[in-house]
Amino acid sequence: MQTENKDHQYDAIIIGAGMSGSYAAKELCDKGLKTLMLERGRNVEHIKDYPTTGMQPWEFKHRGAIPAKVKAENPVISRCYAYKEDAMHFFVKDTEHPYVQEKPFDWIRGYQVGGKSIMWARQVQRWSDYDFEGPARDGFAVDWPIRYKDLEKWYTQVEQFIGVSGNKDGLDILPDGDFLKAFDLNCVEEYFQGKVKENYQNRHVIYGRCAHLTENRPIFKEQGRVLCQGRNICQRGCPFGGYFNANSTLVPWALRTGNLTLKPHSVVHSIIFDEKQNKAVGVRVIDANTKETTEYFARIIFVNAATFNTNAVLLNSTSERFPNGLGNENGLLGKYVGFHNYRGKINAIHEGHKGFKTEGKRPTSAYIPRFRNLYKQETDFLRGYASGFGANRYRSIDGSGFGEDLKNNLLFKEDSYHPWMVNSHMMGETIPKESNTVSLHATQKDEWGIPLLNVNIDYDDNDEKMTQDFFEQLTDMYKKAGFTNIKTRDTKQAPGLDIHEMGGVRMGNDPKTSILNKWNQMHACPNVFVTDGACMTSVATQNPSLTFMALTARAVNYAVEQLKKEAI
Amino acid sequence: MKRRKALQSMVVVGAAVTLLPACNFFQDPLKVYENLPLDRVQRDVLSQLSETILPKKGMDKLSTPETTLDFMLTMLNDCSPQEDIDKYLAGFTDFQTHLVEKYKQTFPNLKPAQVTELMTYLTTSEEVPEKIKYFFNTTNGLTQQHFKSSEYYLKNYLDFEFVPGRYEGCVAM
Repeated sequence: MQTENKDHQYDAIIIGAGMSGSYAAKELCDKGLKTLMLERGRNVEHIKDYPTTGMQPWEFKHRGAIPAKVKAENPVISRCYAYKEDAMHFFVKDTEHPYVQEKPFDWIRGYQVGGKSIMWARQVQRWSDYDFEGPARDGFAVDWPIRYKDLEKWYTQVEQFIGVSGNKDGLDILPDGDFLKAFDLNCVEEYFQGKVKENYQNRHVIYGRCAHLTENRPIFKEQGRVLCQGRNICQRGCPFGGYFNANSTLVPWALRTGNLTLKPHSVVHSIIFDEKQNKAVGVRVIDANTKETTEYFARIIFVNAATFNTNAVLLNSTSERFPNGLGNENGLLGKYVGFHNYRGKINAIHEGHKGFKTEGKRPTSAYIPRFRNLYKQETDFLRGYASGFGANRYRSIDGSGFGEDLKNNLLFKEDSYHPWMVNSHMMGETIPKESNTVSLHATQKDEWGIPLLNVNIDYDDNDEKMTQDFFEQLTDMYKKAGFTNIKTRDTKQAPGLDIHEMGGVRMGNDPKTSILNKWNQMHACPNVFVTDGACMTSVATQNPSLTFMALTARAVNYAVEQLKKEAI
Repeated sequence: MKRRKALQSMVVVGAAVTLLPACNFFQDPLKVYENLPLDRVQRDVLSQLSETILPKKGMDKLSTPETTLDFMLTMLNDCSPQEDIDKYLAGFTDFQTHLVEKYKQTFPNLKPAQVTELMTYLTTSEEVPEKIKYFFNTTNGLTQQHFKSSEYYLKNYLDFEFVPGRYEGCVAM
């Protein structure tokens, strides 16, 4: 039942206050729309709610470790690299929000205003047409309804607003953006860069572009952010606003317009579809604490609950017109989910550059863009992988002996450095398949009465072959650079630990084979837009958040134009 | 007489080791570590063993919020799975038994030469029984972790900077 309560009427509703939802809030509010942003978790205010940001390493009771009981009760989240004592309060514990794993899937979540943007790895590489044209060229998923030129100016707009540190590399696979200056690559990374250039035609080692402020610009001053101080404890939240998260940059900006209403502790049950008006008219919300149900109404709805929860909200939004979930006329909702294959690791020793070390810290490392199957199909698997590359030199600490000997060993300082250690990790593109799905459980529900999510996702033969190729190619590159003691490791980790799940509500040209059109707008319910990871038709190799935000900015612009024309 | 006295004191200590976890013979309340049933005497042994492994007397202040003993007990109690705690406690018992069998003494009463012999054995011998090795290596590891994560060590020996504000990728040594 629609209510006349004016307090519940808005121009736009956004479901989810993470990175893409908050970007939608900033854009909608800037355009003058009265906007309600709903967040199932608590509010996290910039600085005020970063309880560990000023803590020194020795001030942590467990020096970063997670208590054994917490680990035993929460095996999934405990496998996440960032789930440590300093930031554990930003992650969802397994016990708090259960889900059903038909196959092992480590679902890493952050239920709060800001979402996972507080703890993210801040890598922001643009997609190119080698990515957008991938499905059509290689015959998987469906053709993307957009190309790089459609997104280019939105990438620029986002980069200018959030601040991205990078070099102009001039690569077709990884288009340049509007960058702030880069931190240094260290001497071993530059050495490897040179060796790769010397030995390969289409392989490149570049600086990993990251969402950090390295130059002052008026826009950052207006946001109240200052330069990155290289503390490398970003996951705690940064009092300088040195890296971009939604809490420091987007949410305060949107609130300052006076157009944003932010409601934390609001669990969205479903989107309300009005059969007579033939459109979505609002959302049904359960108060996370009181369990009371409230309905809010708006002319347009942006679904940005993070990939799987966006799928879940839509699947749970059933009506006479959409008995299988909102916009799901073709039965594809929840299918063709993809992720990134992060199983491959390699490390080695570099015996050179013994007279050099690094000082200070930086929030990124080197990056090797995808080189496999780039210009043509050249292997027995589809697509390829990007890789990180880092070189580090650590103090050598001799912990042998006892008593005064041990003390002297520990306190020996001169020239006590290990050789340089180098490492890479694989970021492989997976092929979204119909069999990789999320769905609602038939009987099990959460404490708000909403069906639990079933996750049924796995690697395939393509991923196995690609992982082997990563080991072979990176080993070859390492050998050509003269690295020694090369060791490869397949972590065999479950999908999900990459924290890059995407798809289920894919974009496409044809309503028969996709849920969203080229504007991230539902084919079958045009006043609903999905601009988080759920919209992705394929997953490429790049860290995806920058693309989510660019798609969001573009979709908001379109939605507001359509509203003005009264077309939706 | 000396042998008799030593045996008597061993019996008393042995009884204390057995009974103390259930009793409160002391006025000052012991900090509670719910997974670690260690009494004051046992904690003193651990503290002395830790100080023997890495003597900190005469050094600048470590600047940690807790003593090394508190850190060790906290880490064991909070961050070790129960099976590891059980292994540690079993190793501790065997360690004490080993001292009684070999030196007819408890750890605090060992003579300096005996301490040196014991520590050399524990840190170099390949014949240390598995349980005792686990107990000793864990105590040694936690002692060193506390030291190496102290403000003193991080700032003075690892050149730790909380707000470096820079990255220099190629500094000549």
